[in-house]
Amino acid sequence: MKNTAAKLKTAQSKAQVLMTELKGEIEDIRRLIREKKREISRIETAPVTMPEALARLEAYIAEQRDNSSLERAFRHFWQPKDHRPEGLSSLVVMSDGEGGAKATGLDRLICDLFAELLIERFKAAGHPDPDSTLPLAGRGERVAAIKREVLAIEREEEAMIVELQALGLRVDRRGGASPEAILEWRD
Amino acid sequence: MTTNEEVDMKTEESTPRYNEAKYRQIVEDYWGARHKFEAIAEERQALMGQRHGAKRVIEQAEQAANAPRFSYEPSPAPTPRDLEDARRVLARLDEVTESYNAASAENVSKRQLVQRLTRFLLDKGVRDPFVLDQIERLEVA
Repeated sequence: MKNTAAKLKTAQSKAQVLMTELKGEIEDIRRLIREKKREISRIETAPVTMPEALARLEAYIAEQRDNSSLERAFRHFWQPKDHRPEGLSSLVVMSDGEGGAKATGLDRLICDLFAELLIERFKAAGHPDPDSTLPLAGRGERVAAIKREVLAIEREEEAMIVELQALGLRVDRRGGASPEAILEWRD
Repeated sequence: MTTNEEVDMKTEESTPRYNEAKYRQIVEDYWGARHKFEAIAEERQALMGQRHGAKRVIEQAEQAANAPRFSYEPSPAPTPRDLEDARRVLARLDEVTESYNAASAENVSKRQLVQRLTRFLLDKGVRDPFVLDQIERLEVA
């Protein structure tokens, strides 16, 4: 009888150790999932590289210049009378003008007149740490690959939760756990 | 429809795309937790109704204990039984409030899980009556 009680106590203590280990493993898995998700977030929100940002600015300037017309912008000064509505400056008339849709637009005017200056100032302005930037190309594929990894890890986590539940140990599922992993979804 | 297509359809129908038993278990677990939470909430509500009276009894007992020995207007002292009941009500309220907070948190997280799983299944085109039933039950509850 005494022997049985001792054996039971040993078994209980071994079970306790095992359960603690398993819970620790789940915690490790969850830590890994958090890291992977942080990585996804970093990839998705990282600024683009300097050449990409510059290319965007240049494309914008080029588009504005293509649609700009200095002739329309300066037309105002050729008028025999100042037709400016009260309170409007010449610059506003040059950019928005009385011509309505025909006017050149302030952004077009600026890009047309100061294209090189804009680019020069852009390069000189503060920009993100190059180590924090990422090229746009390939981001989608990287994120998709990490998401696949996360799903595989989450399936592992779910399998452990089921195992622990079978042992009578309650482990709550994470609020953000993937339904695909929990429900063992098959496409 | 060719015979092969019919066979494919039957196979598709008969092969569940997810662990239905687990979904049901999670859902039942949630409703169980919810009933538990409702029962605790009901008891807490009843105890909250008695709290004011219980506090009053304890205050009266304290006043009576602190009153001068030869007072012209002695404070009415509650009976020992009333005092004991009042203390029991407040102690039970503390216990129930603790359980209520835990059950409330559990209820919220389990409900969110069931909602997410159910929405996922619906998005995937599952139209199992049990799944559809959850939508109605969750809306009502």
